[in-house]
Amino acid sequence: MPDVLFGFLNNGWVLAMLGASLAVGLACVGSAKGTGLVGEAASGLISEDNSKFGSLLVLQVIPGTQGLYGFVVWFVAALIKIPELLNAQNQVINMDQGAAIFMACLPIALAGMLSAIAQGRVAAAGVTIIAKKPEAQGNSFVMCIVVEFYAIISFLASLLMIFSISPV
Amino acid sequence: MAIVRMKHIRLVALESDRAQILELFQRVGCVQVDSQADKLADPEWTELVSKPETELEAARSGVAVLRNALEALAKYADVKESFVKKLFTARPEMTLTELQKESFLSEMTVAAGEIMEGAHRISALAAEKGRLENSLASLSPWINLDIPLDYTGSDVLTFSAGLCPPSADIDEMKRLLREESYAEAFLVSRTETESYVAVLYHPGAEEETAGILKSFGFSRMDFKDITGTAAHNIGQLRERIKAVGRETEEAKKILLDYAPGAAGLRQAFDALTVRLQREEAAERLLVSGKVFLLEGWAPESVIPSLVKILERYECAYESRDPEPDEEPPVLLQSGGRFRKMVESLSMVTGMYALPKYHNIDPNPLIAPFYILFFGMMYADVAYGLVLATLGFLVTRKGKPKGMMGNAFRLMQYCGLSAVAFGFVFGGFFSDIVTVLGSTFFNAEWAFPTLWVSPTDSANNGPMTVLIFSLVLGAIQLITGMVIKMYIMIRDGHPVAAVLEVVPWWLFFASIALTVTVGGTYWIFAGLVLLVLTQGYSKKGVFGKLFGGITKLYDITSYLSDVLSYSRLMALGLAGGVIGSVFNSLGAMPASIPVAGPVIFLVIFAAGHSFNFAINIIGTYVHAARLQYIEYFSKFYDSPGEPFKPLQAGTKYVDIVERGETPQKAQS
Repeated sequence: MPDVLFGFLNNGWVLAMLGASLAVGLACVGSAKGTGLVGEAASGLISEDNSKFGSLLVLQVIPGTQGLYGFVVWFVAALIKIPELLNAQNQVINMDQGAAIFMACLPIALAGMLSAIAQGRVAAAGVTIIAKKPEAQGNSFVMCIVVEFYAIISFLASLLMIFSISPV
Repeated sequence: MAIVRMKHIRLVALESDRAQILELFQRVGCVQVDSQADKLADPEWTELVSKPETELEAARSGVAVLRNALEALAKYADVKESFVKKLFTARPEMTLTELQKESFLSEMTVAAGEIMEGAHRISALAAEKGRLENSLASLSPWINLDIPLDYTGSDVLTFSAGLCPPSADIDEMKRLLREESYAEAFLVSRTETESYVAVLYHPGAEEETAGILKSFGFSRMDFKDITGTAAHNIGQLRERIKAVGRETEEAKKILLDYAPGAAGLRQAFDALTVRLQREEAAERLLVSGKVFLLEGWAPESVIPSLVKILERYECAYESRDPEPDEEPPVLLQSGGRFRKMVESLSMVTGMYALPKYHNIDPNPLIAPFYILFFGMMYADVAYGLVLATLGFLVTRKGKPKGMMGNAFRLMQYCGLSAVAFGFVFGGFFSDIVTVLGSTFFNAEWAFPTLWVSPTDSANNGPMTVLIFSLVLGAIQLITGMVIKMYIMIRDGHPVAAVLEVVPWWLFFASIALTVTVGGTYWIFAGLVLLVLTQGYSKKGVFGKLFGGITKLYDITSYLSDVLSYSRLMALGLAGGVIGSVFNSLGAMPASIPVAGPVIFLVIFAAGHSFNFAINIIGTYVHAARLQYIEYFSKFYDSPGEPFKPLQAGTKYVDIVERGETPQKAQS
């Protein structure tokens, strides 16, 4: 890594902040894309039958949770863990700690983004279920929640790893 | 607590009694009338029987008229029942006789017809308004043209009006026309998309003028039958639009007059639906001369009351046990003290599939696990209380039936279970007590934790709860295997039952011994036992041995089954952490005077409402999934055909039986 370009990364604090940013940023990108996909699909149905708006809204917010998970990880990393380390260590975060926080943020950053998009696809297909077979709308929620589980475990993985990093 | 025993029934009775018998069956609500379409394909049968004449079409259109009328009222007179209000109000109770009063029905049908007339009138007026507005839009650019639109010119003059694209240079066109064909063009008006042009020329210069106009993209406007100037027409159109608006309001007012009668229309809708259900059953009968033939199923327990009904008529009937190769329809029914609790689990079972007739009623078997798992994943005293209260209120006030009834009843138990686990893991709006203490009172408060908090990593909380989850999983899986053994022994395969299940337990025990006592030979002994026993159904020594070895692969499926229960810890923890982040977020601006606590309350309310709702969906699905995938795979045999009796299925009223009528069995 040429120092001229990436020298600022040789700083634990910056690396930790980068991790936190990616956690919330990428997860929110995924959620935006996922909810967007569902919104597009749902608008078509709403233009014909506004009475389904309630169920469609539930479908649309389901891929939004990943963004929230990313936000929680960001909150714990940037507003709790990093200040905690800075206070305990004379306002310095060493390279190892910074890298560790960065790594710990990766699961929700990656799995959050990709699972939100995948879930958005399932939910968009669920719009068709609600259009054609309204009585089966429960099943369309179920199929979305199956995807949700992988976001939850990567969220927990990130969170538990961040919790495990302690001041030296 | 079981799958209800069914009897196949056959009935031959007089056509003239058909309507009465079907209505009585509908009141009992316990007879499934099967279709006999296969007989009509058999030439021997078709010589004897034919399809009955029913009033199915009339019944269908009757229901459709009332449905459309109710929809029209909802659309134009704003007669809607809000979902929340529906949840908390019980439906009126009526007997079938009260519901089906002929005079009332015909009155309501007439009213529905009038409502539909009004609705048609409103939509016709809306269509006319649309047409008028279109004409208005196309005429308004010509408002400044004071020549009648039907004017075409005289012997020495031709008049023409039309449109040019916005790119056309009108001044250039005017110049060319004036110089080359002695014609005159006027720009009437101009919009972003169109220029509106009127042209006057000598008939003799028709060709040149047309040529020039064409080169500027001029296209003639056809005003069709419009006479008089644009301004005059526009005035007329505006007046007509106003009149249409008035007429629409009048038509809507007529519909509004019907709005108070919506309750009656709903009753009539139900009455006609009940009639339709009877006609649909009648459609499945066969007729021969003056008698009809009914075939179907009924629970064994209601046969005596059916016999009591049929004794009043001239008829012949028989009932018999299902034959071994038949799949009778499945009805799950529970008894005893926990009947309602157990039956509410039909919601979970119903979403998967019913068991086959000869399998086992899963509801009592999943009830303890489902409620326990839900509570563990939703573990929060406050959330649980809200959930249980909601379930309780709706169940008491709204008296929902069927799937909704089960859902809200189950909600009570799951809520209470969440309260219990909330105390165990110390969750009350996550950690609101601690946050309140530290932010506003500068005190170290904590909600009591009976065991350990899954977020408390200092006390090894996550690990403890994870192991607890896996142990619960192992208990459920072993229960599933016991049930499998029970079913196999009940069905007369005791040896197979022991061979299928017990070696696995010994194998699990061997793993436990290896871990606790030590010595790898335990686990080897377990493996050998599996290889020797699991191929028992195969033929030949090598077949058995090979079968046993391939069964070793199932070890991985048991492993993944147990690990799957880690979601009990994962979902509970995720919900708790998100809630606590909302609490901390809210506490951040708390030091600001006045505004601080207000912001705190807003974030608290919004955040926890969101967390509450999103977690219900997740918890419901994951608690159910553990039953479907991990538990059911051990013993469940599905899908069974659901029992669909002829009964009075209503939407807006509850049918009750008063006085001397056959006892209605639970279904």
